[in-house]
Amino acid sequence: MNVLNVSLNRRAFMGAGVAVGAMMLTVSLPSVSAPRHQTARKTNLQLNAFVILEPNGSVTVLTPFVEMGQGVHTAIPMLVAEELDITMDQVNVREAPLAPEYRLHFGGKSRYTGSSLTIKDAFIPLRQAGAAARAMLLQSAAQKWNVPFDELSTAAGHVSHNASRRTAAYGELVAIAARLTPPKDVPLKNQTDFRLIGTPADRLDAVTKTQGTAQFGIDVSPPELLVATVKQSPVFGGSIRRLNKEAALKMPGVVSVEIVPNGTYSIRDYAIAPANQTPKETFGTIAVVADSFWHAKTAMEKVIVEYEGGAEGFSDQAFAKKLRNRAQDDGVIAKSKGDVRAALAGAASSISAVYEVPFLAHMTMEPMNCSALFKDGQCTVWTGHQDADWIAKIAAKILDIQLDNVNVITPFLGGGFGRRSNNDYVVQAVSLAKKLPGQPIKVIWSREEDIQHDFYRPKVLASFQAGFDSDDNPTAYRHLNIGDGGQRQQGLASHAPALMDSAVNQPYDIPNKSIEYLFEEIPIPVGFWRSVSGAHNGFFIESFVDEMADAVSDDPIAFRLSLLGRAPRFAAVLNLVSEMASWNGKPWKAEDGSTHAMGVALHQDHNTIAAQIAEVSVDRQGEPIVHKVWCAVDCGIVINPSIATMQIEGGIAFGLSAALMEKVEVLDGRVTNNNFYDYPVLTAQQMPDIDVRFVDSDAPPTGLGEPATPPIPAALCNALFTLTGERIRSLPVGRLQL
Amino acid sequence: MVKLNINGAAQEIDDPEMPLLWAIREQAGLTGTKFGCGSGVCGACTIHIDGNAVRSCITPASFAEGKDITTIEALSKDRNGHLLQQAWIDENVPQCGYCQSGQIMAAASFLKHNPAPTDEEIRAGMNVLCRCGTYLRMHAAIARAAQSSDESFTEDSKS
Repeated sequence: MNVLNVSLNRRAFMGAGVAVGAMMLTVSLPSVSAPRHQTARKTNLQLNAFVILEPNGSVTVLTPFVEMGQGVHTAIPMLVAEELDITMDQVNVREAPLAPEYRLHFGGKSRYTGSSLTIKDAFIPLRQAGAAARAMLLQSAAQKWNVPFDELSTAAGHVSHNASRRTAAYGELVAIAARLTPPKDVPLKNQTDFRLIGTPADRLDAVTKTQGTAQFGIDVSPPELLVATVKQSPVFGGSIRRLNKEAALKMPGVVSVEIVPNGTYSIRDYAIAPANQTPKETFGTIAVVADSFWHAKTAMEKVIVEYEGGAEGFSDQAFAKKLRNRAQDDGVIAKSKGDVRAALAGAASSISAVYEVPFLAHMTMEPMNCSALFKDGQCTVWTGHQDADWIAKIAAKILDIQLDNVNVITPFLGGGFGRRSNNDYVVQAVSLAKKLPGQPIKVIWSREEDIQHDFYRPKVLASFQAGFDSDDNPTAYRHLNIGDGGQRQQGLASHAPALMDSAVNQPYDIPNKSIEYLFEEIPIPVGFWRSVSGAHNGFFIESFVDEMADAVSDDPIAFRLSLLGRAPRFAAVLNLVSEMASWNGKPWKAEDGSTHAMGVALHQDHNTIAAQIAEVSVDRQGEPIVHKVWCAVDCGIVINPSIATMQIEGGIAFGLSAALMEKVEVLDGRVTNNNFYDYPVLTAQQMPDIDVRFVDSDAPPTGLGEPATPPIPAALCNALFTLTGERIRSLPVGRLQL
Repeated sequence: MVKLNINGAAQEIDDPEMPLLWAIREQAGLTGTKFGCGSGVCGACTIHIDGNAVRSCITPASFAEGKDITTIEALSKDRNGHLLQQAWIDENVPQCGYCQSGQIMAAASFLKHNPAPTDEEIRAGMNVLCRCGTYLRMHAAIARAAQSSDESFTEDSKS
């Protein structure tokens, strides 16, 4: 057990995250939620921004991050519990209020849950909060017993003084701790002293999610609740030309039929625009408000509505042609080394290839929904989202009230995958609450609405060229991406990041390289789909690198390793997965008589390196069968190997589902898919066995929500190439022609 | 008016055409049963009618008149249901959790009809969609529950 050293001036170990942490701990926070007439003994005590000590000795951890399946409502308390020396059954989790000290991303600028940033950016501040809280409890015990506190130790929520055989539960020290000033710069444990971090602690949300008592946004039910459903112009950006609501208003339980804004640009026009800037809204959404969803839904069928305008001329196939026409163009350089064009011109041999990916939907199991109440100048919003600050800004702007008058309540999210970063459904619900103040209204989308008004993974095309010298060494590598992205549409960045991000972070050491992009505007909403740029770049790059290996008749793993001399972490991950799978670069006859083959892919996404090997066969109908996936990961220190493994399994399932069968089709400006029956997703029968290992590491942790998704499409298609000799350059794979 | 028996409690539903899903969620106030697709495809809304798995989003209330409806909230009253939920917790199955009620209700019905399934039968028997990819852990939980029910059954027969 480490001994406390409250040396306030010591700034051991600390890097960039410290300033944020130290600032938070100096914020003077009063005791919360305890009526004044209670005695101090029964009062809970907020020790710092993240830690509340309850009088019964349990600890409430305030989390700025939402739980959408990725396990952060277990991992975040683990970070606090590690340093505070409490057990996980002594921890409760509560949503942090809206305040600057909960913005842990980008140097204190932002709070959102996404980009696989939670663990990376919480690792130091949340541990600091736990360590500082522990320091206050030690100091309290030292005062109470009048002993030096370097003679004190802590374990399982108790402070002990071994010499005098005294021990006190944390809860007994609340009264004294309340009079102390929170300390700064308390040293953190060394990795070798961790007793909780690195263990497969049980998920704190497993019980309620198994018993049906976990509350999701769609389950929220404040008194006097009205329920609405919406129908947006099926053509993106269309507005309402004619509306006849008479028949709908006569339906049972119907309260109102309203036109509300689409909210498509919720980030650009509400969350990041100045508060006084009016959103450029399209009013293309009908809302039927009733006493129940069923009544709202059946009444919606009686609404007579005609829409006009919008992206009527857009189809995914015509857009694909547009992209293909530019495949040989020069791009804007995102990153380059040497002279790729001269090297290609002088190459002894060269190859080129063009790759494409389709639009994809998120298909979170919980359809979009949001509840809102506007009453007496105050607004409460209950919804699953990925950024509480954005939700507050949306509501404040629509209602023209101060941020302080907005309360955001975040139940569990029934999946996020990036979809709930775009809060169009919140714009719709708050707009309805403004029209019908005084009563809470819950907007629930149908599945059809959900798939037809998503923010899709963009359709992107990649064009590659590679050159080799006369000894078959690669001398030139050129990668051009053409398309558009969610960041560009929402005003968060130029077009480059969404297209490129992971494309410029790959490790292969080739003397002449050029990574380029071209912008081709997509007039329908695109967004952030689990792994964002990795979702297409993993497939593109790792398929083409496989083509390069094949062009020089090299083994796919040996070829990659030959280019990783300056990237030891990548090489280690690749070697590990090769060992796990007992890599076999040639097809073989399996026990069942069918032919199997392996394919490999390696990709860094959101700061984490993942390598995967897929073992596949093809059935008699031409359907690819993925038997097993091995995945090696370097994400630095692993907080909870059980949850970390779940994220890898889930990331693989998500990417595999897309690679095998997912495709959003757009015709005349509208999505033609309707539901899971014409947008199939991975089933239990299609789920491969998965074997996951993490590289032993003492490096600072990086995220796991996304990095397992990018490699799997390439691992799958590279295996199919080895099996069939046919290179797959367009997804989804679908059924193969035999 | 339709009279329903949901988890042993009487419930009157005004619209016989209303899918059971909404009767359960909005009239009985039991929100453990989830809306996923409204088309009977995803299975998030799976409940039991007389012990058999049914997709409540496409089942009209009138269909269940005079029958016993069981939702996730009451599954643990059944001994095997309880063992299944415990296996789910022991395997740390849920991620986002949204489909899990439907998964568990489907699995309980599956095990009732096949108390000692092979791995292949478990795999073939899982028909509720999950976007988080919890399929492997669900499989492990179903296998664990089958084993624990079997063991408890053996102990019961000894006594």
